[in-house]
Amino acid sequence: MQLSQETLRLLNAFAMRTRRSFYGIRQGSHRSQRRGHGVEFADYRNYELGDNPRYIDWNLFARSDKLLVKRYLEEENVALYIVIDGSRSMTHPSLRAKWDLACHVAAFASYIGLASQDPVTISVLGGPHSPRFWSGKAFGPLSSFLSKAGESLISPDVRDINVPEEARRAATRVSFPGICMVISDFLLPLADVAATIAAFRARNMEVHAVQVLGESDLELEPTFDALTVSDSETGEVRGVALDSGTQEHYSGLLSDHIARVREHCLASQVKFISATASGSPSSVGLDTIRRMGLFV
Amino acid sequence: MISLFGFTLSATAPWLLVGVPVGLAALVYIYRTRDQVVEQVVSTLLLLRLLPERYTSRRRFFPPLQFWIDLAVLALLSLAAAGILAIDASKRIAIVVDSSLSMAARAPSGTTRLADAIRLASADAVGQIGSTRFTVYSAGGTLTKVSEPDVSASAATAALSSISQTFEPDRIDSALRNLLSEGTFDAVWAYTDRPLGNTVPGATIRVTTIPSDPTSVKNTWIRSAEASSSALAVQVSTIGQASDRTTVSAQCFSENGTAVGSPLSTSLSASSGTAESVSLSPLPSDWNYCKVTAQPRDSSADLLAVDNEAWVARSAQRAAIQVLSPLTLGELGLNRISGYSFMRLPSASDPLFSPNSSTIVHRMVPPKKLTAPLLVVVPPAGKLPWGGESGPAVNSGIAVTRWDASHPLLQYVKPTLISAPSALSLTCDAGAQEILSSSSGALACAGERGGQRYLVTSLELFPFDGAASPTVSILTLNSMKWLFGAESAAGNLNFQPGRVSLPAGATSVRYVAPTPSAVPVSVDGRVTLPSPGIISFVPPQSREAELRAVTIFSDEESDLSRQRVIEVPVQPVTATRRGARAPLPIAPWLAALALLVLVIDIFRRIRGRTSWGMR
Repeated sequence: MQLSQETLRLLNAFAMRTRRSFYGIRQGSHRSQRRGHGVEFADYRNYELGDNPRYIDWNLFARSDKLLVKRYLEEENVALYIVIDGSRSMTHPSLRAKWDLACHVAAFASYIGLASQDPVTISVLGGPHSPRFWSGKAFGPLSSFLSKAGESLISPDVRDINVPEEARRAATRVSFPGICMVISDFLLPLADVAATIAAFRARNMEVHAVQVLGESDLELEPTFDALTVSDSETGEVRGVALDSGTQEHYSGLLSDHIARVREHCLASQVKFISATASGSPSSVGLDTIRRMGLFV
Repeated sequence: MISLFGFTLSATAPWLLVGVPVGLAALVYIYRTRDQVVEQVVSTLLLLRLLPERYTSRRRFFPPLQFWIDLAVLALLSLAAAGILAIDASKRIAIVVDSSLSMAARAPSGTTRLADAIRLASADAVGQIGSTRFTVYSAGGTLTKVSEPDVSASAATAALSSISQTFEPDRIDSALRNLLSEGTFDAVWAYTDRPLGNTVPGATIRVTTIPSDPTSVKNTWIRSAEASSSALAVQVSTIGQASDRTTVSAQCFSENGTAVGSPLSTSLSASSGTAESVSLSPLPSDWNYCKVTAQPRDSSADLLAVDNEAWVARSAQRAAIQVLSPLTLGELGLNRISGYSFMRLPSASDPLFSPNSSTIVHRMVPPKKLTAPLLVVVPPAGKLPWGGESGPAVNSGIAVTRWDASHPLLQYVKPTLISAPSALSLTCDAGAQEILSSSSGALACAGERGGQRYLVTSLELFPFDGAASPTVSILTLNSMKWLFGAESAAGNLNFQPGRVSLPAGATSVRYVAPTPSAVPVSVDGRVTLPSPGIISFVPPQSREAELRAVTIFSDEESDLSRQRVIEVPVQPVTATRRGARAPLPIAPWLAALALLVLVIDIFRRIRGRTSWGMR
């Protein structure tokens, strides 16, 4: 995946903004829960033996005759976990646009994170070695990882996965809580959606759900009277009559499902955003990054 | 060609019918292809399971309603483009039932010949296949259509049962000739008591003769009844009853129907095949009409009873006859004939000439349209009433070689004694009868057309000089009597039953006897007189009613022993039928039906909210 200069210029303008603070690994640009020697005052504590006398607030001592030491907020990096749903509904050859968009969104978010020295970990659910991980500090290997993962996943003989289970397995690899982006089409039963999100929330992560839908998910093939559809994950075949009433019915069902997922996310304090894989994945991905609210 | 429901279907461009199977195959291919290519991989069936399921088989073909609509439109348009024509292939038959006087005779079955004829015709009609169409005619004095054209067998049977007996001489020869010449029918079935004289190939005509044994038939009839000032002269004929006694009686009545005088009666012994004359006298002075009956001793053997009676009426006025001749009445000798009122006119263009009055045309062009009795004497060559040709004048050696002795015109006439210095040879009309013939052709033709008698003779009947040439004089008087009524003091005139013409402007027409009743007069001044009797009418420019006797005097009909054969022209087998095979173009109807199906489809789509581009 090669990013154009224009895309890079736009991405360089973004910075990741967390809603809450985390413990970081090393010094960074995000406010940490850890108290230290930052520039922003946090609180006071009693002076203890061994503390540097430079941090004693002498003015306060003069007023209260107590030795109190100033504490400052530490600024550390924040771990960014990106989880990409690599199930067949995202990686089927005829649905590849969804996977491409998901990769672009993940790449853009990773680039922003890497640019601010934040550790980035990408987990792809699906494929023969699911979940597979990548963690590093350079964008080049990340791009190569995504390309290889795509090649292996889009192969026709790849078996489907249990997304919640894989999500749980991926969550166990999380060492430091941080930002978690779950990129999926979320065309799962609501219980599975909840289980997938809960797996990462259980690790005390700030979860952002990015729903990627294809054009075929929004509207059935409108050319004929009837349609024979096959499930990309199970291969099940079903005949569907495609009159105007059926189309409206399907659109209503899809809207209801998305609304239920959105409500669940809202109740779980998960930021939810939906994107449609139509047009250039680069431009749609940038728009998605912009609408997420995570990057400013 | 395909036969269907009595019609034969054909097409002007039959090769376009291939559009139906080709279109069917194309439609099936298109619809099957639609189902085969529509297969879509979706992310999940999570939501699609909640939609109504449609068939998923890819092998069986389930044509939707739209397929049948498309196929119907395609088939209808293909048939319309092929120019489908429907030709009526049903057989058309004309049924002609002879209802003349002779058909009133009792048949061996005990019923009348007419009843037998109707029964046989009904059975034949019912025995035909259902698509056969019939047109029923009755042939009395005229050919009358008694059913609508081309009706079914049941309707034809009903029409047959409505045929009533007439008392006119039959004209079935001319009737069959007319029907055959029309060429409208596939076959003509005739039911009569006369046999077919010639064989007609191709079975175009079929004559069913009511069976009778001419050697055993018995009948007595009145040949004529005439009234003089004091007596009734009655002529009676008999067949099959040798030397049997016949009682001839008469009863006279006044104008109001009251019998006057005592019944007159006498008896005679007539041998079979001969005519005997009797005189009934004295007539009462105040009689207006008389009924004459001839009753054989064994009346049960008499097959035809209706001709055993005759009616005689007294007429107070003499018949008025207009004469078209270059000669004067005196030169013609007409002033020597009593009982008639003659009026000479120089030509038919004279303002006083009336086409509805009895006319004598002498050496002048006769009228083509016959509306009154007509006597044509020596017409100019080629100027016959029916438009036929007459031969050149033969100026010497005129000898009568053939004649019809039974015709009333030749009563008391010895044709062999007729000698004329010159004459023309005539070609008689189809309905006319050759009365006198020479070796070069007919000399006198007598017939009836439009209910009016006419006589055309190339023999010079005038000047009437009485005893100078008695044979011609008798022929002249017979002609006057036959055409214009009997010359007598009573001035009696007879009508034959049927459609006759009264004097123009006659009013108050009614039957006086045997049963008083009104007689309807048609718009053309003619009346239909169904049975013998006495009618009364008021002539124009007169206030007093006149009586006319309606009587049957027809030896041809009453002589049941004479087998008169029917001669019809031989029709070519391949004769075309005019109007019968007119094809019925149904292509426009098919196109209209296709349009209707399309309109219904449009409404169906509108109601179903289905757009054409977005199926």
